[in-house]
Amino acid sequence: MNTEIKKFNIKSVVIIFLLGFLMFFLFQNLNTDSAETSNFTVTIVPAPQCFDGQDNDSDTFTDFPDDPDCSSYTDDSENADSPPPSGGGGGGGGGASGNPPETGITFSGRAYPLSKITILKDGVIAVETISGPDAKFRVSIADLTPGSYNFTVRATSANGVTGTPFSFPVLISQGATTDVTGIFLSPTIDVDKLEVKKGDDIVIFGQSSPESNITIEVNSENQFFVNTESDESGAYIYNFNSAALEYGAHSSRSKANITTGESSGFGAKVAFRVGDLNIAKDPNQVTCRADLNNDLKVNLVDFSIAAFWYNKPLFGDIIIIESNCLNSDGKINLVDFSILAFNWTG
Amino acid sequence: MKYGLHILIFFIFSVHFTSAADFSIKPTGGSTDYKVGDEILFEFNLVTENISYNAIEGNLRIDENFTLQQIITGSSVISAWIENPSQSKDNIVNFAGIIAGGYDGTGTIFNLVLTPKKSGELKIFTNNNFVYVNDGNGTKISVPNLQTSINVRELLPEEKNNKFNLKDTTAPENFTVEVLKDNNLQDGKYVLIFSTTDKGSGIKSYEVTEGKKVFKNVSSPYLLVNQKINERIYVKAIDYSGNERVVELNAQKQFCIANICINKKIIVLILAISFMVFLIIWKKQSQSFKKISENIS
Repeated sequence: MNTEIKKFNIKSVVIIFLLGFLMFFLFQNLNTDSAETSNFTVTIVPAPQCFDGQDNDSDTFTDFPDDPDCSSYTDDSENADSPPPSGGGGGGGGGASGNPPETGITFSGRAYPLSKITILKDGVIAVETISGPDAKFRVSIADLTPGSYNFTVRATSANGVTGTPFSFPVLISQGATTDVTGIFLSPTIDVDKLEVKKGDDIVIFGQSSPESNITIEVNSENQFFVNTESDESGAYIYNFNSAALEYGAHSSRSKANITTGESSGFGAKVAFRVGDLNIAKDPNQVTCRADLNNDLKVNLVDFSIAAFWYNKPLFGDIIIIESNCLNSDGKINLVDFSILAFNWTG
Repeated sequence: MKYGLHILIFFIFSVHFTSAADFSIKPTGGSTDYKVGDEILFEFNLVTENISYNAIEGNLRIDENFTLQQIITGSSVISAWIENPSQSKDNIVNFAGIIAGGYDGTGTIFNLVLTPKKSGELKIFTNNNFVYVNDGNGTKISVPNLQTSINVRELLPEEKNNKFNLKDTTAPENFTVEVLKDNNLQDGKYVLIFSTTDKGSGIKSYEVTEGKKVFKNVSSPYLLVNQKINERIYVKAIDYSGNERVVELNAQKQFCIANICINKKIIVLILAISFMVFLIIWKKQSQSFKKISENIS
């Protein structure tokens, strides 16, 4: 009897360990396809004490003009003993208080030469600018309400190709200036064929910062990594021979790094197949991915249409739209909303 | 003993595994001394590491001995709620929403203000929760269920209750309102689309008025009563602290074809410019015709 229990215990322990390893393996190999991020830096210059929204000296008064120990908005001490800020004017004249410091954020980094940079604040377009010929950009948003935000930086190259957006959360404090530097957007990527005949070349191309080292990853049973350089316009091209790839579905993605050590993360993947034919990819083919009202934008309008049909039986045109622009399962649920959020343009 | 070993092995794995995404529920503030009648703020967070997610859904089950005072969505990472977290009769809070562009990190989904009705160990559970990877395919990942509990004691006669006081004097964020006519929405009738956020207490409700009627509580998309859209429309966003932001849509001056609406002033301006250009061309042509006819004669 005891032996049976022991046997049972050992078997169970082995099964649990195997299950555990399986779970570990699954989590380690969770193929997310989500893009990697660049090594950006967030620097926060805190607000002066007399405009930070806090009672720093615990005298029950907060900030200028409520706290009598504050001489202006820019006074950096609520403590009565501290001297007034240099150049602050002192004397309590009406104009001495100046203007309160702005609560804002600045983004800077690299995208593609002369590309349109769009900054989304919680999914809504907040500001747009154009990057320089060196792909560098710098853009600010002022007058923010203190709180947590999810910002997205997106670049559309001069020839209209949008790269992988880069999103990150930032907590904005009253009167503080937040500087997000070192953003390096992933290169754009595309291929010239939907299907490449095994043994023929497939052209992998895109755009990044000028004169960058581009690392292209081709996914197969074995991963291949090849390198090329972008020219002065940021364009790169690589003829990849498909002889080493198995028949079937493959994908490729790329990242960039420059001599200063800055590097982007890998961008989103582009898919292709290896088969017995060469089938060219139509560069002008437009897909309606998540664009439910066909206005070339994915925003609150598309969200509203999807929300209207959420968990309801579909009828009419929405059946075709769901089939063409979402996941084609005949219903609108959170999976479709996830596709919508991924393709969100604001 | 037999099951103890199994639990231990699972515990070892659960410690070493970092799930793809987790939720956390924790009371804020340093104190762990909770009394019946206190207002306790709980943070409900999404915790991820190196994977970006863009949609979440699930529910929270709150011990029946708690009174749910308030749900605060002000600091939420959610860009748009599909199912706004709200209290049901049986202390279950259902929620579903998206994060445009995706989110990777630790961020608030929403906060809860709970008041214990009885002493003892009071619990909050997460149940049937899913997150969706920001991969363009809507990959669905189950989030492990979570249980949090606090120990609550009786209030002593000389004691006072801790009250939660959210200082929010800021109006909701500015927003735009769109008039939309789409065959897939409300049988192709004109609807209003709007959404905003509030960084303090969170958006409680929206109200709309068409013309000079009174404001009424609505949600987006809102089917316009006046389908001629020839009256001024106001949309009011109200946060949980009562702060308001009103946005005016001067629909009277809008001219809509299919689902595109253009301000009538712009149309008048375009027509005026077109007319002037036409006049200039016509004048030049008539002059050149005159010259030709003069030359011929």
